[in-house]
Amino acid sequence: MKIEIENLNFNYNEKNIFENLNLKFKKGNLNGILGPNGCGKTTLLKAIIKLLKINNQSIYHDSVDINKLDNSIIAKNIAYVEQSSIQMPKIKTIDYIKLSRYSYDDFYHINNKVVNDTIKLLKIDKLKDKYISELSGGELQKVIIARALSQETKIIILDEPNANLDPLHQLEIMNLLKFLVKEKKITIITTLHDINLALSYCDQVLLIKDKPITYGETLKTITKENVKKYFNLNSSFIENPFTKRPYIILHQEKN
Amino acid sequence: MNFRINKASIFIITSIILGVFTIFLSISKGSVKIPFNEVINILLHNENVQNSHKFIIINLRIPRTISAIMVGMSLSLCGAIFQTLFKNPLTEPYLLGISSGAALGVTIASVFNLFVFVNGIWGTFAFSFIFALLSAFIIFTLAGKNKSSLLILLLSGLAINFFFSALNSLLLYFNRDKLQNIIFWQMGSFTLSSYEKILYTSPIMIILIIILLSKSKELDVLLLSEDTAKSIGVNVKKQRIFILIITTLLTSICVGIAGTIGFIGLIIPHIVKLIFPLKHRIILPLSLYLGAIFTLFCDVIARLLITNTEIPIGIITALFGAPFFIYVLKKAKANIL
Repeated sequence: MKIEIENLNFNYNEKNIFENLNLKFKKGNLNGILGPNGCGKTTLLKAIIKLLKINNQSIYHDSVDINKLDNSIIAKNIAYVEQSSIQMPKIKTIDYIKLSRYSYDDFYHINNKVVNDTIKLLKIDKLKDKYISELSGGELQKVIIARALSQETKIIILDEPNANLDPLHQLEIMNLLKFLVKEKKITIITTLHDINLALSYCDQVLLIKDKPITYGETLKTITKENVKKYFNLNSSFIENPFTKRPYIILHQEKN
Repeated sequence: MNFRINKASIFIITSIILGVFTIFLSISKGSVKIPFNEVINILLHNENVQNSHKFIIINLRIPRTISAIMVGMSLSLCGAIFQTLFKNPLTEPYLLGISSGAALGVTIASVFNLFVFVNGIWGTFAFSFIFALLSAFIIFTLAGKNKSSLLILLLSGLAINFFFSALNSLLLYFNRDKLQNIIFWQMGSFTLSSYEKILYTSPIMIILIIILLSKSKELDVLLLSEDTAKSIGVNVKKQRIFILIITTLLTSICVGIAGTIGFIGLIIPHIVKLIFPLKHRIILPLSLYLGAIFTLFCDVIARLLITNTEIPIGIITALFGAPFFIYVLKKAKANIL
């Protein structure tokens, strides 16, 4: 499955968020979306899985216009991990993960193989019988990713999976995403705030703010010029001694 | 884990015993005292029973018991479903104003004799459904804009309640000849139960209950945020509206049968959810069963509390329900608001 965006226009509150946006996400990669607050990152994600209605034909999944696809078909192709500030119902972790099977025939299977395999893969056996409300932020994010993973899709879209997590869990989640791309051949599209996480983990990044957008290989896209252009910050790069990848240091110019 | 299983099985065994006991209580107790062994004899179709006693049991108490079971099941189920639909622990048909909408419909039908035109009993139910639907959609639009706000939903329900009750009172004020009957019915009562009514309403109620039970899977997913539910593959809007209409229809039939009985849909699902995890395949059938028992029990109290006088059952359920409401509100404040 591939996602293509052709001439996407999107207005919100009379503000023109996207104008003639064209984009093809690379398959089997970890794609990061970066940009300042309010630039339309979440909007773009939601448009891709039809949570927002786009009137003109502009988003294609495998060359099929998204408006022609039923929710349950999209659900079998793309999973979505919402920003985690949302309320959670009083249900057990295992039951929560099982909800991912709604569009499949095995929803009511007591020992759901897909769900059990995912739990093993993410090593969250211990959380299985806990109530979701009892989980810590990092645990919860892993469980939400497990739910998305059990949807058995080729693409997973995440909206700031690192928000509100401590540094350890932020890295844990990024490593998990990297692992899924490598081992399960899943395409990941995630919004991020931390440019350094993008530098260390993402294969491709998309920079958005007004227009035009920039999409390309991470190291070629996150440059001094682009950081100035998209984030309005000065920057300097050093080498991350652990990953041997570039590490960015940001600086705001004083007026 | 073990503890939970034990708790669940104790719960189930207790409620089965309680169920049998309450049904028997409902059939044998009332303003006319009928001795225990005579009740048994009547139920077993034995000879040498007093004819008047036989009449009371067969033609009054048994239909009344069946009505209370049907209405109790339905109201409790509706409460459980509304709580999921609005993601709000403090909802049920009465508190949302849906019952008072239905009640207004019934009053309009009876004051203007409208049901005559639409084939007797159905006219009443049609009006009750239309007005219940009206309040349901007002609530739905209001809550739709402010999904997570417990307060908005409660206050909207309150406002609808006030408004429809005022219209109701206005109609009754100008039709004082019908006051006595309608007021007593409106406070909730099973006095007017008959086999005929049961025959007309029960099959529809059972069908609606089955439809709602078959939506367990959707309801499970609807507990999640709207975006997540959609991304899992549920057509959230379509499902919510469909379930809302069916639930409202069921509520309005209950109101047509027994008037506005509040709080059953609040108390029962809550007790069930305290003990069982929130899976609708478990919660809904248990709510049905316990709702029936609780309603029967309240009806028995309504008959027996004051000798020779019957109290509307709505008063009894409110006496249990209002304190319970406060208890849930206190608990909810911590994790809902």
